[in-house]
Amino acid sequence: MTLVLFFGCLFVAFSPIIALFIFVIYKEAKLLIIMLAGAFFWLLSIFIASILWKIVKPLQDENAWSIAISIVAQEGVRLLLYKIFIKLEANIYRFATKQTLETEKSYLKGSLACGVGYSFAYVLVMYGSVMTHSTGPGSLFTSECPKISLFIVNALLAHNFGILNILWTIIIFISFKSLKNKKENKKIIYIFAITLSLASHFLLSYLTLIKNCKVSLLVNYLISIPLAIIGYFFIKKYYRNKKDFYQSQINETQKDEQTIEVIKPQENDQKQDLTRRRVPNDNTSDDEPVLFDNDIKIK
Amino acid sequence: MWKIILILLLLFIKETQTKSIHDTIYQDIGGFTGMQLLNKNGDYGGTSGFDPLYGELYLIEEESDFEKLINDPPSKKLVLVLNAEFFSFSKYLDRLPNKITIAGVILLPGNKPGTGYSPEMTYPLKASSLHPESDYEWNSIGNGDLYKKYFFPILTFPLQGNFQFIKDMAKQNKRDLEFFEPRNGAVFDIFMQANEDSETCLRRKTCVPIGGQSVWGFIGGEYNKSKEYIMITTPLDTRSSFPYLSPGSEFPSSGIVALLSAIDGIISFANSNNATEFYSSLKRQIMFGFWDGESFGHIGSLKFINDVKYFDCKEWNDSSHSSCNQPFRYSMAFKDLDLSKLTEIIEPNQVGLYTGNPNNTYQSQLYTHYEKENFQSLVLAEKIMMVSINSLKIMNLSTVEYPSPHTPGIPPSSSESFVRKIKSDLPVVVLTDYPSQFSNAFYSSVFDDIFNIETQQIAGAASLLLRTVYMEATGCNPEEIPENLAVNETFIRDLMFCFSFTYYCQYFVDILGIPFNVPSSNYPGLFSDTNVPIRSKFLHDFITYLTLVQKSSEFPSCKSGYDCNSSENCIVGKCYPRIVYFHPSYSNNVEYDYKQKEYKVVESYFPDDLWVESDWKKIQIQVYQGNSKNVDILVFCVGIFLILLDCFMIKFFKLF
Repeated sequence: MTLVLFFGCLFVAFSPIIALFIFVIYKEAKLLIIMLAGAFFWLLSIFIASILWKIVKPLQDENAWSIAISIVAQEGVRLLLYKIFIKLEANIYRFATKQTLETEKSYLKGSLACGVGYSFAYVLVMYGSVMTHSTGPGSLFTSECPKISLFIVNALLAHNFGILNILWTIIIFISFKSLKNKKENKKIIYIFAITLSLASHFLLSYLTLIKNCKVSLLVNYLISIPLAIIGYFFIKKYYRNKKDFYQSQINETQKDEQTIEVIKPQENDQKQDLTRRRVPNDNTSDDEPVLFDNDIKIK
Repeated sequence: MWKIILILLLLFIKETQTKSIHDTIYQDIGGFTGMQLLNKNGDYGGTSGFDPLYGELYLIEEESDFEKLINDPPSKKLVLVLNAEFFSFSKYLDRLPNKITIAGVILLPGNKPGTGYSPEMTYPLKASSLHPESDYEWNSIGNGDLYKKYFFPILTFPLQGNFQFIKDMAKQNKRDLEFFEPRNGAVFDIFMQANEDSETCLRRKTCVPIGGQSVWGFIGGEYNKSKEYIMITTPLDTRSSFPYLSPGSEFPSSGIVALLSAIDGIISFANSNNATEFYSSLKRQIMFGFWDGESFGHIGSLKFINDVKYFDCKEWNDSSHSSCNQPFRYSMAFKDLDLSKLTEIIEPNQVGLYTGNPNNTYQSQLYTHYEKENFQSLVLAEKIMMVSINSLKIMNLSTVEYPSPHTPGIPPSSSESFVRKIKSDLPVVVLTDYPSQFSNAFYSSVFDDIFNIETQQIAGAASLLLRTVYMEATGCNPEEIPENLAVNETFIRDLMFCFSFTYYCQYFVDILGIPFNVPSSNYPGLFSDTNVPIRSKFLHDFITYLTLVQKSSEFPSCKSGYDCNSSENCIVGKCYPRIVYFHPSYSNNVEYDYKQKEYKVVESYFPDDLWVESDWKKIQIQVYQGNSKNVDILVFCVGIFLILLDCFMIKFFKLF
């Protein structure tokens, strides 16, 4: 029965990562690379935290300090990852003359891939080493939690933190980007989102110190579920806003098109040609030039 | 392909497991396991598979638990935790239905089986006895469990061990547990590598011959070739289902202690007079022999006789030919021995059970077993009886009776080898505490512990032996034996504690410097030229010390054997000359090839069963708490459900 528990815990802990990998990441090579980069950056964060833990002796005696330093390292590296990701995105879309819904969508997918990578490394390192022991017949029980195996508790916590890590990454990436946007007039919302992400990371991590596993799990999930719902609607709202924004731009362009003559591409200036976008009409035909192969028609 | 990947993944995972978590889950419980022993005819004992065996603890402390197990067998693998009284293959374990999968058996010390338990045969060592055709049953309750093969490991603990927590863990499983409550289990990792038979495993180099070191010498230290000598002897070993926990209190410890006390008595008597004069005045010298490995076909005594008669050194250690390198013999003193000068043998064998009048606990009773067709043996038995009658005033001396006329002759004993291989009419008497069949209900079992014997009985036997040996050596009449020739009962009690409970006792600490608690075991162990079993070393050093302690100031000081020359031994800080000898005891059918560094099976004048012990990589028994099967399945289902749920949410609640 031992492998049954091992695979059970594996599925519980990695379920969000597996699902997102199959349905989103695996479909685009670019996202796969970004995900691996995300995983690498989480490893970098924990490497920094370990070095600090090793150097600063008082950290070794108190779990609370270790957690704090680990969170600070993770969030710091997440910010670093954001900076690098922004540069990467800018490079990929360097030919685009302006932001479109597609670049926005690509940004969101990229941040999701970063989050999945971050989460994957987190679950693998933090829980993988524990989970491997579930291949044997024995389980880990504590006096505070005598009836539920710590493998199961940890699998559920890893599942919870896995989802949250993805959400935190997307929210923080969106928020930082929005804060950089000078035209953005609802900055307070994004500041609040960043604060909430950081605070929840601290809060939930410290809640794992509760020795009673049932209470720890219950409190973690009770806080995480509303957070996840808020995060989901926050991202959804952000995307809808962007969509509305670009839709309105398209509408305005369509109006303008009736009066402004479209600039035709010059044969001797291919590069120029690529940078100029012909805004599609409602009746888009196959011979109309498009910028990206993977552009999806906006309805 | 995916299977290979999975195996590689699991192997990688296994390698990277952090030790601290593993050690938290699995708790080593120590104890003594049953080993796989082999002889020419097959293999016996239990082993785990190459992969460890594990199962839930199942406590059997009452008859009803056992009946419940038979009538309503669980479908899971079990580790049976048995109260001592249920440890019997023929009575209990063999009755278990085949559908019960046993991963191991843990025997808890405590109440012994009420009706007795002996895993030996009804006629132990019959093949190498004087009466191989006899149907007599010396050990009537013997069930032959030692010669059974079973496919699970067994484990037990010494009386002083920590085992109560295992019983508590097994008791927790006994409750009606809810479906999600954890179960306690044990994992056995004892893979015995040898199989088939001893010749096969020696060829495959997966086993090592069983053997130890016999101890022999002459009281007083000097052997005069021109003089006749008598021999007092006893076996030095026994066996049990758990070889390395063979307390052997009644057999062989009672015999060893009785013999050692008699030797001590004679040496003390000699030292209190003029020792040199006393020893030279003896008409017959007194040889003593403690033969190791006797439980495995009399290999100790047979090896000794074989070497005295036929030993051929292939490479001498020095020009004086005092020791041999190949085959290794650290002393060649045995070659000087003239076996034709051996006039009689007296052997205290099983002498520890009180068999006298229950109303008079100070008068023990002994029986003089002799060969029925050997008149000289009868004469010797009569002499012993006369010693007993003439020494009634002596405190603790045993009264002596003849054994039952139904016995075929002498019982299983080392003396048999000398009668078989030297002189069939050699007078031999074996002193025992039983008239016909073994009184010891726990012969060759782990239950033959210190609570199984009476010190007074051993003192009686030792006293009788001492006075008889004095009479036989000096040639005096029974009434001329000095009254002050007696044994020390406290000394006997202390020695019994050492030989059958723990080596961490006064005498062993003083002589050998035993630094920690080592439960006593009379199993000879694996043979090695250079390793000497603790009890052999003690006997060797102690008798040397007793003989020479009066002259200790004449000998140089030492810290270890390296400070002494090759004919000396460092004992209690002094380099004493070698007057007591070790003699290797292992099968005559095996020889160590010093070039190939392996044992080879050879022909011998004195063939035996060639007993060997299987090799093993590690012995590890651990207990753990594990999830119930239901929880494992539930978690697996939850995992699958979560994956499906996440896929569903991503597919149908599309963000972008």
